[in-house]
Amino acid sequence: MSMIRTENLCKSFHSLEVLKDVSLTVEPGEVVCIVGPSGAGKSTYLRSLNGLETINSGKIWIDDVLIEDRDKGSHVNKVKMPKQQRLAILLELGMVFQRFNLFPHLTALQNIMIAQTKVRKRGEAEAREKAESLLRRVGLSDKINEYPSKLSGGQQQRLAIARALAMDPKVMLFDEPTSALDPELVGEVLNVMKKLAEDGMTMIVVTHEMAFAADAADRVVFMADGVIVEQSPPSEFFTNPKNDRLRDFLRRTLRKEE
Amino acid sequence: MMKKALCILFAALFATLALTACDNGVETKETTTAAAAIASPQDLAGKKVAVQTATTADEYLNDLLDKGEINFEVLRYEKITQCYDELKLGRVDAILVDEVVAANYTDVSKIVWKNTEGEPMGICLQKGNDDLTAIVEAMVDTCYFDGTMTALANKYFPYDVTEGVRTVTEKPVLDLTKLKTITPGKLTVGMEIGYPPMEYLAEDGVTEIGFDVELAKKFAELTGLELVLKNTAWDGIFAALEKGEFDMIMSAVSITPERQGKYNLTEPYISNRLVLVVPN
Amino acid sequence: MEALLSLAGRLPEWAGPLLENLKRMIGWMPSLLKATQTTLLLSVLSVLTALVLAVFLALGKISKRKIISKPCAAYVFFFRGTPLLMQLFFIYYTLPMLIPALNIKSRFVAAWIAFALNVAAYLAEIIRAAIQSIDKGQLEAAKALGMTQWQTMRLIVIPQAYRRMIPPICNEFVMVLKDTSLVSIIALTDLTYQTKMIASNKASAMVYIPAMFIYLVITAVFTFIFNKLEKKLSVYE
Repeated sequence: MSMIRTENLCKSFHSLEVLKDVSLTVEPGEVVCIVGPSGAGKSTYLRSLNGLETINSGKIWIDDVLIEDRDKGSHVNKVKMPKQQRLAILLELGMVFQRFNLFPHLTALQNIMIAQTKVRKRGEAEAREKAESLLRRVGLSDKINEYPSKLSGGQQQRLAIARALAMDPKVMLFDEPTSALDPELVGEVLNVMKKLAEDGMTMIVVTHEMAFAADAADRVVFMADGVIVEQSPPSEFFTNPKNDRLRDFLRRTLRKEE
Repeated sequence: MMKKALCILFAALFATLALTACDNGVETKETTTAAAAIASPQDLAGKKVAVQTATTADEYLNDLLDKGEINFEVLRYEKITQCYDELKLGRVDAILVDEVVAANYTDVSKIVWKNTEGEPMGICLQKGNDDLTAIVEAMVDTCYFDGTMTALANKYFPYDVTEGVRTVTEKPVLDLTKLKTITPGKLTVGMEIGYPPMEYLAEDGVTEIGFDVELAKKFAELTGLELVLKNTAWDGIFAALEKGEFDMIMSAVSITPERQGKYNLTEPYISNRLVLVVPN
Repeated sequence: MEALLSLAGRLPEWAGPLLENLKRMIGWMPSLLKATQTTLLLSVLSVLTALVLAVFLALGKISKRKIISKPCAAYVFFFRGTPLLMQLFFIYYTLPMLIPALNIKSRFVAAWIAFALNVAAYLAEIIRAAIQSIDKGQLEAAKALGMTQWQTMRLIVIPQAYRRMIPPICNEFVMVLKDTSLVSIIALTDLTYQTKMIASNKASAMVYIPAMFIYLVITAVFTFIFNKLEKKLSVYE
């Protein structure tokens, strides 16, 4: 029983191979952090899970349901599924983007409500109640009727998290959630994420924040050049890296953090 | 909410405007049906007449309207050819035009009325340019004497436009000693090309042909100057003459008292009158 | 004392003709303003009609289905690639000669059609650009939240796009207002036609002053309206 399982994912952009046979399994309730140098394929991997990128070959299971099965060279997904079913599975994944991607013409409340009412078809009252409770959860109750442009970066990202949570996903995908934030705003977002982890949410987080990974992750995955080089619990990952490449990477990044 | 209001406003605005436009634009529907009933300008009541802007025909219709006895719509076009296009397409009931042109369009129109008052044409020069005017007069006389006029008339008209215009019994004297043009060595003539058969373009769309064109070429020959034709829009041609852009206008210029007051006009070189034409 | 008297004597000299001209210009105003109705009506109707057509063209051009996007692209290419004057003549003179049934008797309607078709092509590009200027990240977020393409267009893209369209649409309207002067060539009594009539028939070139003044006033009023509209819609920026 797994939440997310990928086998032999391959993805190329024109002639550039970005993912080379990536296989990874994430159990329910697990918090997995993916780290690595730029261009390693981390974001691409994350985005292929919810269909923002289409893989060239490989298999993807979400909540034990096979949704993608492609062979090299064929452009066809062998898994045929009615649209409604595919949508239902997609909704089990929630995504938080590096640049927030909030809807600027909607208030904070409306941002959280819109997908609830239009996609999940919830009633307005129910959606509003949920939105308000989520805003409380991420600490933005006083910004309920503000437009995103009036919020700081950290507030916007917390709003984005609330928006994703409103759809009641089973897995939360974070694509470098704090990379676009001013350093002093990073902490408030990481705190929300930590609490989420403590509450038992399955999370896959692509990040450069090593302290967060050490703190909140159940497993840390190191990707470089499109392959998973090493993965282990944080206790081992940071103190006892086995791979040279990883050692190198840690030396450079951890030194920067000091 | 605001959006719905805007949409309704949009639709309402559009509807009202469209209705006003249709009211405005549909105009009189009886364009072609009663066309046969026109026998004179008095029959133009409630009809649409096309004219070329700023011609004597235009003035005639204005005067008629000013009298206030009948009311009709005058449509003014820059070129007489447009008037005939409109007539062909049934958008106007009649055209008031020079007889010299009407003869050219007998395939699409017929003359129903001719003005009893004749309107012969002359060559137009700047006021005070008496020397050149005298030379031009002499040249016209020469052309009448040596048969050039008759030949051109036969070439371009189905009837004799030179009849009774001038009687020249002895060979005119052409004194070129006082010849002076705005550009030495050149005879610059202003014309509105697009007035068949007086001045218009041949099928190739480039070569100027016509009664006035050939007459101008003859003048150049007689004076030994190089001919330069300046194609000018009709509603600016007199202003251009006053500015000194050409030596003379040879462009089916009707002789009127008003024009005689403002410019030097030669004696008539071709006969003409206003006629009213309707579709065949 | 003498200087003052001579000054008083000199004043009426050039003031005379000036007042005379002003009197004439005021005398022309009623007929000019009546003709302006046609100019305004034609401009507004053409742009409104074009707007409706342009939305379909823009969405069509964006469409991934070649069978829709290619004809839309061809339409835009044709109407932006040929002069408006020729399009007007084509609809008014050429079409009736090719297909007698298409003889549009009304000058106004012919002009309306020609302008609407022409402006639609330009507006389609404006609309398309506004739609495509919406940050792709928002489209991804909408997709991640489960919205369909159509929902994304309706709820996310268009509400933001139409605010961005306002300045270029205002520009287009101002251009159309002046392009309507072309209809004077088919003897439609718009402001320019009336101005030319007064200029040539009464032989007075002074009439261009009040005429241009009227065009300016209309431009100013509409620009003001559009600016107000834009401000009203930009609450969230």
